[in-house]
Amino acid sequence: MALVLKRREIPIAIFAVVSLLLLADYFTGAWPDVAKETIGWAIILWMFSYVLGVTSLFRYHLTRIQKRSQYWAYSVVLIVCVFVYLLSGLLGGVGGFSGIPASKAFNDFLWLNVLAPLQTGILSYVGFYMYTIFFRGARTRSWDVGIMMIVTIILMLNVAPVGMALWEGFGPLGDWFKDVINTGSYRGIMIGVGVGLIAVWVRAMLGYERAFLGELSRGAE
Amino acid sequence: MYLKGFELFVFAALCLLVYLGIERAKRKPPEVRPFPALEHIDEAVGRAAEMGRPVHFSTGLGGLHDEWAPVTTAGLAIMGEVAKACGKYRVPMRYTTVLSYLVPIAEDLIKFGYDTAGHVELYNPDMVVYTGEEQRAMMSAMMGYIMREKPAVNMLFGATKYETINFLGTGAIAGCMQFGGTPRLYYLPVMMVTCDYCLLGEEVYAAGAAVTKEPSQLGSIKGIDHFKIFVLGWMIVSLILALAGLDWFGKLIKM
Amino acid sequence: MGERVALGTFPLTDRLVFLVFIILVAIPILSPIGLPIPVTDATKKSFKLMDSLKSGDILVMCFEQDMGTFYSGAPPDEAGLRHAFTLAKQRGVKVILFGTSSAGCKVYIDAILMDTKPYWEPLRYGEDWVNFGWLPGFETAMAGFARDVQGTCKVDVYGKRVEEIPMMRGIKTLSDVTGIWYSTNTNPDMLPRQWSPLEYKGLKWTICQTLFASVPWIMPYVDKGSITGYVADQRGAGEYEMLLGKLGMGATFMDAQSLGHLYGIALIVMANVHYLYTRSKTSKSKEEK
Repeated sequence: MALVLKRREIPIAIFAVVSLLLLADYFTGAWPDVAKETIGWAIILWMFSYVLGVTSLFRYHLTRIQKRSQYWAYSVVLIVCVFVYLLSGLLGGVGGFSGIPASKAFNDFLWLNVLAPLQTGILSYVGFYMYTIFFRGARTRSWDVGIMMIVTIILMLNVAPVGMALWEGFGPLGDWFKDVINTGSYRGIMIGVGVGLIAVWVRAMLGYERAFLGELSRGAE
Repeated sequence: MYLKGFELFVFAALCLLVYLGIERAKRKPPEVRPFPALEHIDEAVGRAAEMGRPVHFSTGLGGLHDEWAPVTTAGLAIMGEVAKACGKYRVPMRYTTVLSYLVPIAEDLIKFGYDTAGHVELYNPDMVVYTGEEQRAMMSAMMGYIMREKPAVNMLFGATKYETINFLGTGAIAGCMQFGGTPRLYYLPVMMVTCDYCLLGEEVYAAGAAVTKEPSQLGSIKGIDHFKIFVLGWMIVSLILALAGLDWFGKLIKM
Repeated sequence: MGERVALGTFPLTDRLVFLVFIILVAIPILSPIGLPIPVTDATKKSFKLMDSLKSGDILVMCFEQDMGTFYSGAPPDEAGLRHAFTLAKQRGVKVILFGTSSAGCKVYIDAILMDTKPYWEPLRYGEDWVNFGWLPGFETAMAGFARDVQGTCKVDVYGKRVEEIPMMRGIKTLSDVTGIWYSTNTNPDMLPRQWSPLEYKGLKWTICQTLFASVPWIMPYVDKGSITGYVADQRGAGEYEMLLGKLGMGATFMDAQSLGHLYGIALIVMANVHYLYTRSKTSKSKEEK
């Protein structure tokens, strides 16, 4: 029985039936209730992926602690943080059990005063690195790169109000680059991405695509 | 009930072209042009061996569960190639991921790469680092690793998001040789400026197929190319007809 | 690339660049310059779409944001929320809020609600507006919401069941919703895929609030009507606040953005001048040899 369940054909069959049902709903409007129910199941499965994620996280970091790998102390910190956030949410979060105002205040503190500044701080590096890239990488090595630099400057002045204050022409010129040149190239890329996705679907239906089964091609052997 | 006739026709045509491409590729796999980014992997890993520093690889935030699955697959295929080169030159490598299900896949690929090169004893499960499901955690883990260990080579192939800027920016400051590739146009400018070698847009898909040499992947690339030629021809004909005042294709699309 | 006079982790040149950047951005935030903010047609269109809502119309505001992207997403979202709650008070528009990002969108919604408290406090929760917090499933949640609102939004952020929320009665599918304000940073293509006015007859319009750099990404959809309007990032926030007549974070950050962009342009020009000078010097010395 276990061997039967491990057969590759079963997940491919599930994938085929579900995707054909959803495609039938999209193209013809057939069986809308079945499609609606399937999407509901998909949301539930999505939630289970978080359980899988947490389990993997624990497995990985507990192994590191056990083996005393490099920086294993941070794995201890991580696991403690997971439990603190979990308990805080269970007691003081949405639908929390405790009903004590202090637990809600502590939960809000953890999210708004600890996690939020950490997330914002890490992402703020993006701004600093962009400026590093400006003076390290923005070299006009050829005429086409030079054109790109000029367009970049025009678009930067199009976005910032100071540009239009310096010269009104930055507005329509920047909009033209954005709405005509950029849009055209994005259309091409989007067609490519969409077409690539359908190609993956065809390969998955034919059983060639094994990535979602946890296998990956090892190349020509 | 209703029928989206034109859309169904286009979808069916694409599926047929991809299927035919795969079937033809089984008999005669099509050729893919060489990519500088792939050709210089060996040189880059050799550089890492001379400097005595590791190689760092990431496929970014994309996974196998969303519309960017083909890109992540291509990124992992390239990682397999990098793992082989690392095994050949006896260079340690590290792969950082934010998705738990990629951990066993990556471990398998890296181990196979070292094994193929004849140095499976150099493989270590710690080479795959899982930072949790949170993008910011991965960003800070990668940035910290790059600034501490200063890998000789930094690679980012896959469906990347914000982490691209931090990852490649930190690599640029640390003096790493950088490789990148993503079809997400939004981050391509950053990659082009910070990377020594870059795969643009759909070159990532083709590079992944070129690395694995799997007939189904090569064949589907060929089928996609044929479909794009069909779309291009359609656009040119409809443009000419529209300029002539004939709206046949416009009416066809509304079917 | 650059000299390596490293005191600690970052080279000295990088630290100087960052320091000047911080000073240039901090000055206008602490003491606004007051540069005029011209309003673009795109923001005017989005404002008109929101303003077209009438009594009983349903507005959905979905936030695919988290605290990491707070300072790029919050200015336009708060402007949109202020407008939405004003319409709720003046005309009886019903507002539904939720988020789809798993990295903390509930906290994001809490934070922007904190900033817009004077606007929603006079309203009746459950009758004028409702907050469903985080709906798990990302794009699947959006697909589920479009087909089965009651099944996807089972409980609100306070744990109240959807059947007990008066304003949610009668809202079954996306066709019962009048307009959507969808806020995202890096996934604007989910909106036309799942919630397109071309697919759902009752849905009149959708507005996408996204990064300025993502605007070219959504322009093909805006051209075809899959997305009706867009509000672009902080610039869009500043423009929206001008139209609302009450300036906030967006307008404040515009001056900082102006100085920041001028600084970036100066860095690009300086770097290229230095590069071209070095290159000509190197080629001259090669010729002399």
